[in-house]
Amino acid sequence: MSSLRRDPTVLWRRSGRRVVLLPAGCAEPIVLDGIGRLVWELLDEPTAREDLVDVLGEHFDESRDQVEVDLEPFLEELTGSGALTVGA
Amino acid sequence: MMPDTGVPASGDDVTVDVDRLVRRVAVHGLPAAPPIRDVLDAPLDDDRFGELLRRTERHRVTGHLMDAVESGALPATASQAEQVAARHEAWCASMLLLERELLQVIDRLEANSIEVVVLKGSAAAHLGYPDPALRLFGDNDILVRSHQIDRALHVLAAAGYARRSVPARPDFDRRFGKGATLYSAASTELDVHRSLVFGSFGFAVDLDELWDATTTFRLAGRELTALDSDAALLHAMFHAALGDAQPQLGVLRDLAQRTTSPAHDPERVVALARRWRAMPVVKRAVSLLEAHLEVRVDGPIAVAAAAYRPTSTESRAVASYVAADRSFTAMVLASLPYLPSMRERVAFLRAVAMPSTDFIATRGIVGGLAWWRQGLRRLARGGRR
Repeated sequence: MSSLRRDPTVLWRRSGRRVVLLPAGCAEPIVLDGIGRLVWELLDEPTAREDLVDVLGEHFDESRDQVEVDLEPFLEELTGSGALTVGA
Repeated sequence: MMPDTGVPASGDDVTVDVDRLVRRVAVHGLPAAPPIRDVLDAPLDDDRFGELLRRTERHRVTGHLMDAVESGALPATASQAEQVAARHEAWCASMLLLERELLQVIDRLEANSIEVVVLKGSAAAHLGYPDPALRLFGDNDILVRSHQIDRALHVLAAAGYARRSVPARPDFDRRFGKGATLYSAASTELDVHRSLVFGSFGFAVDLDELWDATTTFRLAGRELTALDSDAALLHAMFHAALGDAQPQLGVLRDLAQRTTSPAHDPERVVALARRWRAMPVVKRAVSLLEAHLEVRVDGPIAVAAAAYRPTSTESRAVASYVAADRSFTAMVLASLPYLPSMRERVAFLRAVAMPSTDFIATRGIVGGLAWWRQGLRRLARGGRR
């Protein structure tokens, strides 16, 4: 089961309902809002992808399949930027 | 979630004192801070809110404004709340870029075996506040050892940092300077310190003891060195008491944050201040905190500050930083009693009265002799303008 975690080298700040991130590979900061901020908060500790999907499904009262579809591009972008790392 | 109060801007808030409101914002979140709603119970009109936002940015307390609006402690319309969020977000982005630069600077210096302590800015945000987003900063400050400052400046120059003024003499930074202000190619500011302040009180700081008064904090997975709670509190006092004559509220908030935190040991703070001949600084800082933010300091620091009677030498030294008619010459003269030997005093006077030709050239003065005569005249006038 793969787990997701914040990359420890990311610089970040909470700004109200948003989170501003500066991953090592990004020239400019990224702003997370709404579900993005929620995911960031949930990944305070390494979290299994399946658990993340369950929590978000419950929070937004959505099916697991729908959450998977919505979450996929977001997670890809954050892992691609170096903000998140995927562990075993 | 930002509160949408649903209340229209009051429009009849001309009696609201924005200056008082900014001060309330500056202490928001401190233990026993007076409520903001005593000053403002309905949203300001947009013009006055704009003024409030500008003033909080000028005083670097927009993090506290953000917190006050978000928690509902300061009434605001949805549009006003979004304005604050946008400005705070911009500050956060800027601070993250500065922190990245700080890490790069430390990498370069450490690669050259130069030790670094992070001062103020990022260190204050991460060690002094429950949430680093509350504490805004617009530059980086680092401390390096006196014997390494010349090499540090050389390494940073090779990395593209420029200094806009040269030291009075080649050995000035290492022997007498507070440090140097450098600018990156992107115009970000980096203050490289050797001591906490220029002149009298800077000379009296025991730099070995300062370097022993350190702790660490984590930034982007790295462990960085910063001043410990007691030395950081004293540094905050130096900044508040000897900086601008009218201190920025963010500077005073740093001081209030540190003095109201149980992290510091007040007995040790007083002991350090006595050893560093800084009790006049402590006395003035405590007084400024009460006068500007209505924050009372309790315990051993307050008792020691109240009981302390500065000598005339100390009063002249404080005035040389903050008096309305302060001058560089007055600061030089007030600093002399703080130098440890006659030899050091002569060397210091020589450096400021007869600086290097490079220094003179950068100041736009034609002849070295003219500068020397000017210096002698200023010293002969006893430091008056």
